[in-house]
Amino acid sequence: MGNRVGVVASGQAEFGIRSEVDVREIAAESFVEAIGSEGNLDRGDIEFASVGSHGAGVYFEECLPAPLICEYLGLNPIGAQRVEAACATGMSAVHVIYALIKSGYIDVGMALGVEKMTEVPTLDMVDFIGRPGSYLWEFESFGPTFPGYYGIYATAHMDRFGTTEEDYARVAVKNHKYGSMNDKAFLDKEIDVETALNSDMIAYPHRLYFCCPINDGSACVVMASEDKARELSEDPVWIGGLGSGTSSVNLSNRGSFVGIESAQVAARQAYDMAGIGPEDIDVSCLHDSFTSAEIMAYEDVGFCEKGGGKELIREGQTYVGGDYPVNLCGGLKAKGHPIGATGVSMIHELNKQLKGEVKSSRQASIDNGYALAHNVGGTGHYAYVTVLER
Amino acid sequence: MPKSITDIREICLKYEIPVEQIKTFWEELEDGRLVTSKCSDCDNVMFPPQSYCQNCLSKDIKWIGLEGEAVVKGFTHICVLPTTFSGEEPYTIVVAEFKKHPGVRAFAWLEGIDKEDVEVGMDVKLTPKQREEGPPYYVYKPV
Ligand SMILES: [Zn+2]
Repeated sequence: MGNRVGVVASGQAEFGIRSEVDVREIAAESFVEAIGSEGNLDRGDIEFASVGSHGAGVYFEECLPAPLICEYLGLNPIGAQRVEAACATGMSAVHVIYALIKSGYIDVGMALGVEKMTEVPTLDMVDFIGRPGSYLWEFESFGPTFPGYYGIYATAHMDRFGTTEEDYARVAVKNHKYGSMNDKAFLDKEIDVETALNSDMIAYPHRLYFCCPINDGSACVVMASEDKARELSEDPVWIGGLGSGTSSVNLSNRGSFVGIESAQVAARQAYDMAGIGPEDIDVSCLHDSFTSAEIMAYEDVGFCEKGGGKELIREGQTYVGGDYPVNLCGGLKAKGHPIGATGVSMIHELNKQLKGEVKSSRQASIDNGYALAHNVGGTGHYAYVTVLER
Repeated sequence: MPKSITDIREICLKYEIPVEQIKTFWEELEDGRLVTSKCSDCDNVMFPPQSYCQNCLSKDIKWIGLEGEAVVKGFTHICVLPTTFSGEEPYTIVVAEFKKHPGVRAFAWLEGIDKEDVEVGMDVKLTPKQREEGPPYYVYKPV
């Protein structure tokens, strides 16, 4: 009798401008796919739902997405909650379910991340997404936007390590390439470096193609205790390690702008718990809300030394066949970033990668059986890292 | 039938933000002076100011003058503006560290400089500024 926690099923709605569905309907798409993916699994097995949404009641009209989705999917009266951790909302929902199972409180639970971001005008969304940070000390007088917050990091990284706008464009090219192979991705066109470098400036040094899009989506992961997981699934993927951290909300209280400290802490915890190191990771999803953030993330999760991220993308090491394939689903950049859904979608993608179930052109070679998901909320205000193993 | 329903309920959001516990900061700023909180127990200097010391949780806070000379650690130019800033020209935001207060930094606009001339490591000075309507604030100026 083991006491591991397994991923028994997962699903994802198509990300994009999904104006034909409301929040419940788009949540249902990922839920139905997850439940249908394992013959032994029935929705009646689920004892608790952790629903991740950052913008409920602000981005879209519904304030209580957790019981609303339970009602729509016929799950009442199971226990439920909404969780929020900015852009790391989804993975925080996964970690809550892990803890509930590990404690023995439940045997089977689901993390469902969902966001509708296209019901309000785009510049209003730019405003809402710029407010998390310190409202009084940052937004009220200085109007940062999210590409701007990460822009402060990017200019510091460029100055310190010689990372260039071309490097940021190269990451966009990679993630668009893989997005074009993913049926569930929002942006499905390949681009070249020139297209990215010639696109409009959003917040220096971030051009349009260096930024993730605003879009809708949902993802669902069903998890279970070890015995139950073996009952429900032929071949569960296991959660090998987790880590989490926070950094200051006021960027002025950060000591350095070349790495996300909370993510470094979270990655270290997750590796230690799994008893592995970065060299053991076969495939990963790293939080590329901006392509500069992906380069910083290579360093923060230990795929290279601090400052070495630019070499990984220049050498193609983060493509299929490289040392560290990253974001083979298209990442936030091309798959899309419906905030609450993103972290859950990372676990879904890596579940499929570890099982060898994605399209062969974007399938990593699974040699060690380990995958890593890195989900950052805000500019590291929150960070969650998960190691999956097979 | 329309494919979506345009919501007819509208709300105007304006927060009343309490600043009573750190009112000295705002009073001094109104008079054109920059001050911040310093812990009487452990000497920790904080910006933004806090009424509890984040280092030792003491509530014994005093106010010290903030020397505005600072060095830019990172910057950005906001070109696509949020709705509530739509009347502004594109603006530059920097985080800079105070020379006289090592480890203490502020987040603010940098004004009075061409965008092409902004760089990490440059010298700037934090300066109080008044609005025609609304609370006082502060911006960096190049030196
Ligand atoms: Zn103190």
